[in-house]
Amino acid sequence: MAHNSLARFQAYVEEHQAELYRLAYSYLKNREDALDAVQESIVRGIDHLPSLRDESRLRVWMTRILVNECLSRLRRKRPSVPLEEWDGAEPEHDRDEMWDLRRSLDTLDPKLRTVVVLRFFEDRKLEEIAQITHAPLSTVKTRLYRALAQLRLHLTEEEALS
Amino acid sequence: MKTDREKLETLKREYMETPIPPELEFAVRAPFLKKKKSRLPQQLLCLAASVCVLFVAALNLNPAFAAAAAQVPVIGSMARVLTFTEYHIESDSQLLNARVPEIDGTDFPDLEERINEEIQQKIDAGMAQAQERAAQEYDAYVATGGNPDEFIPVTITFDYEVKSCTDDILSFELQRFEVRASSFTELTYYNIDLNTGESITLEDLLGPDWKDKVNAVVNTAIDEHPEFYFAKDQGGFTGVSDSRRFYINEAGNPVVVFQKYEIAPGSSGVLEFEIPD
Repeated sequence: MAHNSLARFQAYVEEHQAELYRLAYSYLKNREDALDAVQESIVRGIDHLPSLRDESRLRVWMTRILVNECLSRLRRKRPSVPLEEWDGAEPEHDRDEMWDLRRSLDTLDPKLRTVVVLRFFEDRKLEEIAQITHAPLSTVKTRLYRALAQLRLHLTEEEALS
Repeated sequence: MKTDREKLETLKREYMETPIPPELEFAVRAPFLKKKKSRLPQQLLCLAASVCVLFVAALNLNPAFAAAAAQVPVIGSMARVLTFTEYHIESDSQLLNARVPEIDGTDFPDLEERINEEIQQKIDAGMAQAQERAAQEYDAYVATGGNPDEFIPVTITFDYEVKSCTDDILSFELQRFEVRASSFTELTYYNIDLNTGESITLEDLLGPDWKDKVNAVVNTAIDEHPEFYFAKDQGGFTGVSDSRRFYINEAGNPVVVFQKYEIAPGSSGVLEFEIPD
């Protein structure tokens, strides 16, 4: 029984490894840190597997472990490249309409960014994001609207929430 | 001009195109391999340990049997040096498992008392700290609206492993393993000369040039696979220190141990080097 759930957990993380890595990289912006965060989360996952009673929640559960790991790593370290060093160094043709947006996304508060990444890049439902981030649904919605406002993105309510 | 919806689509495309490093495959598998790899030797160890455990249990129950067993040369030496207490505590905020080793029946009561007390202090202190932290984390989690049923309890494990045990030498490892925001392992080693009651040093085992011997082995290993270690100027290995942790294996050789992150990235884990005489 315990052995089966370990095998299923292994199958899950192997199948979704790229997804886990992308998510980690979006926080840490560094391949070594992202690799380490993915591995550390798997180690924690293995250790805590017996506490996962409902295996249908495996995806939410694993995402939560990884997001927590990334957030705590962000709290521990400062950004490796100070933003000032980027000023002017960016090639002219890259300074298109996307440039400001990428930059604002990178400087967004990690809690707000989590909602944006999970909602729009990972296509997660808001209810799922609430479970992943341990936050009430209303808080997730507030964070989503605040994030969109800071990114100066105007979406219809349907585009934002559906 | 792109619409805002299209801008988000562009960001998503860029996100999905995040380059995936080839090492990911290994990084994901390694934690499971480690589990499996250690299964075989561990089973052997378990067998040895369970003999010992049953034996200790019988010993504690039956003084006459203990007295008889002490006469049996091989197993007798094992029996007189290690007994243990085992406990398990479970609450909403934490899981605690401890197997606490205790030395007993050597010819040196002072040594026994000193080491047993040190072990007990280490465990009491570690446990009190961990308990407090676990309770704090749990309270903070619940206070901020977390569902108490979903809190992942902090897990603390104390355990030990006998590395070698003969009539003359006892070498064992005390392990403290804690999992919360990230996992954390602390290893402490005890190497005891049962004839004198003194701690055994690397110099005792390897002679006055023990540092050269250790450095040679470690440096050879690093030269073989430099990619697994930190470079010298980035906090890597620059030579062995006087307080280097080690244990003595079954072959009687010292095995020096470097904790995770000490001389290599976390992905390399705990590193051990056997130093042949």
